[in-house]
Amino acid sequence: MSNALKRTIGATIMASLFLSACASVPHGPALSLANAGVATTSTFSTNVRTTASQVQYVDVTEAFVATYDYCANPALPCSPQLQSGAMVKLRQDLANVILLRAKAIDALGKAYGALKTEAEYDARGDLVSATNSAIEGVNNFAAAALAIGGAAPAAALIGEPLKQITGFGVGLLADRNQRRRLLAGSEAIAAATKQLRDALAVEAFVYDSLADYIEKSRTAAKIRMLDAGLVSNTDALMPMAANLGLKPVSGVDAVIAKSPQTKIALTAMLQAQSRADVQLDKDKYQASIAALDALLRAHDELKKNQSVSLADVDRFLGELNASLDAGKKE
Amino acid sequence: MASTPAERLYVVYEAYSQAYARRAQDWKDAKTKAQADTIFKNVESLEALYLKAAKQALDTNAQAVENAFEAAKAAQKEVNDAYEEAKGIADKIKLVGSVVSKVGDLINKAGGK
Repeated sequence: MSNALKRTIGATIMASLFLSACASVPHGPALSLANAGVATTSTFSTNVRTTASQVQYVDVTEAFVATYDYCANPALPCSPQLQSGAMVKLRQDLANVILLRAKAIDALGKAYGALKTEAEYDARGDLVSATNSAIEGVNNFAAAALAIGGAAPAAALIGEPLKQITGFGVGLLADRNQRRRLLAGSEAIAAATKQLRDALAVEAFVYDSLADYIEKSRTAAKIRMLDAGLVSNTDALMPMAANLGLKPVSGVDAVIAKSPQTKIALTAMLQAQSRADVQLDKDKYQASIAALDALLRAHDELKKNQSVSLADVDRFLGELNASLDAGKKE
Repeated sequence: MASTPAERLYVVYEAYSQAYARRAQDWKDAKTKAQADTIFKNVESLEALYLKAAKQALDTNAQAVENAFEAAKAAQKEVNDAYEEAKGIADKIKLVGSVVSKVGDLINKAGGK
């Protein structure tokens, strides 16, 4: 290769580097990514907090179910069947572990919020401290998930705890180049998102059994309350009737009271609905992980200066929100 | 091949879930308060074991863990067979009590205790 050609290539590389350093600030893509991150974490956090509160609520449904069933035998002295205080504490402990997830997700949401501020207003959001909080939250949760998931596979997936970005943050704050600040912030947040995603994947099997545990307890209570005539059968019938495009007649309770076969059919329907709800909960969990995967791909696209595609995030969030809405209508 | 933490948790959860599903009928069949109270205690113990297992790693790999895993599965099969064969309530209660002990042993061993 001639010296002239070498000089030309060298100059081209230098020019490329210069252009890259001077590349325009990716306000739009970073803003889209940050918005998707805020939406994903917010939806996911709601889902997780609902699970934690439902685990604790088993205390209440179980008191009703156990007492109702115990007292069905006239040979037994009917009395309230309350579980021990130790059981209440066990559920509280488990709920606290679940809430660690929510705290990590919320902290990550704040980091995406800071990235959004930075991208939106050309202002310096509290990107460093928000990202550090996210990393701390994710580390705490990852450690708890590591304990749940089993050391060998979990250690391989989760790896070392993330490092705080305080030192690098000083440079980040001092950097007047907003493009570099946005990209550095995005990279740190992506590392926390990846850690969270891996920890959630490791403990998916625990969550699956938990979904079953919660649904069975809630369904048992529904069936007993309907059996006792304490609540209207119309509400229990509504989801199926609506699905079939039908409306229950008035006086449903009287119809069911006169027909043992209808009563048994209603119980069977509630049990089948419970199975479907368990599957829905499992799907929600997987959709949340898929949404985080899609966010990670968008972080990568931003880093490579490509246009950020968030269609996958929107799709998974759509699935999640539909599931959450369905849950609210129950 | 060694069992996985997920398989171990499944065995623990199934033991609780099945005992819980059968409890209403067991109470109907109970002849004495002592029997009814033992039914309550067995289900509560299995639930407590599940809640503990869901919070901790069941990740110790050792022959003793595999033995405990197989023993818990065998005890649960005996319970399922007893219900299939419609055995008496006293037998069922005794067999569920055995599952409580075997599942507890599995959690202790798989949890590294």
